[in-house]
Amino acid sequence: MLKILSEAFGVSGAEDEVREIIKNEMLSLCDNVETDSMGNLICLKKGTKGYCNTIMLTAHMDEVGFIISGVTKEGYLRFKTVGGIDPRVLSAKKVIIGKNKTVGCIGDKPPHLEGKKKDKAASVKDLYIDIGAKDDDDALKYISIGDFACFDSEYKEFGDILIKGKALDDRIGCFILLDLAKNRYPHDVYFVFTVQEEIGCRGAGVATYSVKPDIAIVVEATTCSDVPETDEAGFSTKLRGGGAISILDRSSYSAPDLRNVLYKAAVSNGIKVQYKQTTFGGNDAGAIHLTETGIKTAVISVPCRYIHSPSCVASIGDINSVYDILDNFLKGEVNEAWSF
Amino acid sequence: MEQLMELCKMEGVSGFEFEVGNAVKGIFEKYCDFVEADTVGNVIGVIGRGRRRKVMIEAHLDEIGLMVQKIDEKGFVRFCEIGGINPATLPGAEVYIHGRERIFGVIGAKPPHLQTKEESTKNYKIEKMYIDTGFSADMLCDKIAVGDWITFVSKPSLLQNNRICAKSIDNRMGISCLIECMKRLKDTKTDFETVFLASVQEEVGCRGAKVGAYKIEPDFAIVVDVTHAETPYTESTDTVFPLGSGAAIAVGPSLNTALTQCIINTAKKREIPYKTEVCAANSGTDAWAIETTKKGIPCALISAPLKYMHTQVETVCLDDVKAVCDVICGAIEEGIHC
Repeated sequence: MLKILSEAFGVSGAEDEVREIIKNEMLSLCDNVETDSMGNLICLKKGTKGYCNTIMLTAHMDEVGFIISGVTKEGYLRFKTVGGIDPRVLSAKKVIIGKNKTVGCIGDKPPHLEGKKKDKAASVKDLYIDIGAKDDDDALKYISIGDFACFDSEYKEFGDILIKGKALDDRIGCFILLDLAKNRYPHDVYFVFTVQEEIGCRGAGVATYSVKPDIAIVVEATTCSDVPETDEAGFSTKLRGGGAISILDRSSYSAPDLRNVLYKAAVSNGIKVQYKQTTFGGNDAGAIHLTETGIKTAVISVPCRYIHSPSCVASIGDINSVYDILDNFLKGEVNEAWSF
Repeated sequence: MEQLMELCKMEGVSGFEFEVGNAVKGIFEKYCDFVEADTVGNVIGVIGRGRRRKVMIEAHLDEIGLMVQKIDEKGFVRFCEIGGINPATLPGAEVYIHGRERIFGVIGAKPPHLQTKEESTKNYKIEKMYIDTGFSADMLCDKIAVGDWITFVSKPSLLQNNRICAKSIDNRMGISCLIECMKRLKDTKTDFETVFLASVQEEVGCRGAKVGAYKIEPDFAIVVDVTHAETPYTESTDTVFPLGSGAAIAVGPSLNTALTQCIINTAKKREIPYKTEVCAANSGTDAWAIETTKKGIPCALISAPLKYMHTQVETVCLDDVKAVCDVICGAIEEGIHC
């Protein structure tokens, strides 16, 4: 399932394919499944106890990618990035464009013609996509201006049980929610799959307004910089260190009591857990926790190396850790997190 | 097309061509009267042994790649290049390390959000990047070692207008031409003993071709390789050719004028699309080495234009590959009178 989710096309604003995959699964698992006007998928699984409080879990369906902005006379495609992508990962990578899934590769200034300037990183406006078109008219037979494109990258398991693929941010979160929805918990649980996170957390606020949960937990993939050329202070998270619970980032503070309950759910059950140790990044919690009169929100993430690249890397152990922490939390009948 | 895609999937960096060499030897055996591998790993196939004149058609087997330089205490692999590589194409690339096992890895670098503004405007240097295999140093050292060779992972894709995008089209394209010429020439009556040389170590200095040509000692040689195609930022004054413009036939001081003219005449006569490529000095191909072997071997160089050379997304047009085969077979059928 994670392979299917990772390889599915779902750049921000074009999440349809991902939503259809998730919806098909959720229809048989949940009591009510709805798609709102923005494209968020909202699924309710009723609790066993008839409590009036509700828990919302969210994961975003969209991924970073590209939008085709023009075609040159020679038939090359100009593009802009959708979401944050370092242009230095783009040269010589393959992409998939539009509904026809046209394959192209990203070209750069040829190094042998660059001379001394070759150390300077390319910017997106220097780059172009080559689909093999002969000229502009030919190119427009296969693609249209405004088509979205994503990385072409196969999902793969490798190493000491790691996975590699595009869009692990945040198909991993979607995958964990899908798995959790197989269980029934004491409280009503809303499983919400949001759109447009990568361009400013736009879907989550709208979905939260509809759901009006008592508490919310964002399930994410986050930076993991435990790699060479980096100081330990900048690691943010460690691969294989377990689910990473956020204290704060650029978009929100996690509610201290809620994150403490999550941390305790891990420790008391012997599940690996860590705190995210930098404040970089932001996520749907930024929009969720300021919805209406404010929602108590926490964030738990799977560490992800080379995030926002065609080759994101995560650990299966960490995915299981996040699942187990949330499963234990949701099993709690009268939760400490309610007492505020 | 399928043949070329299969050849591009094979793995063989300069100096480590045994797997691709063996596979190519197997294919040669289907079409040639006689096939052998020499001491350096060149694969040689012969059609029409003992005929009056001897022509050699040559292409190199090897591809550019990387080599394991160091495995650090956390299991990250530092590497160096084999052949010319543009470091800007490496971040996020996928590789196989060929050790006792074939190990998958991803090329990583310092995360952008931890870089200073100045750092982030520069390309990563090769010595600052590393391969993440997902194994600890202990586990990894059982599987690979310093000096192991590394290839890129790039599944061949078909683009529009008969174009193929893959790793190592430089020069599996040439090998695919050798195979196509064998198929066409094996039952054709010609004056020639035709010898096909798939050579090793071109990317590190045209080494296999030198000893291969010495052994074969042909009357003349036709070298098949790739040349730079036109892409954005190239100018009309550069020696580059649009994809689809046909075979690029090289002229210049290091190539034999009479042989080259003979090939150009065939192209004209048979209306095979071609362009003339001017090589003022070293062509950077095996033709440079073959020409000065033994008492001198007249050489011609025929190339297919290639975009994004020495990257994981090298792109060639199959129409051009066909033109290269047509002109070589045409010249041999007509007897190469020069």
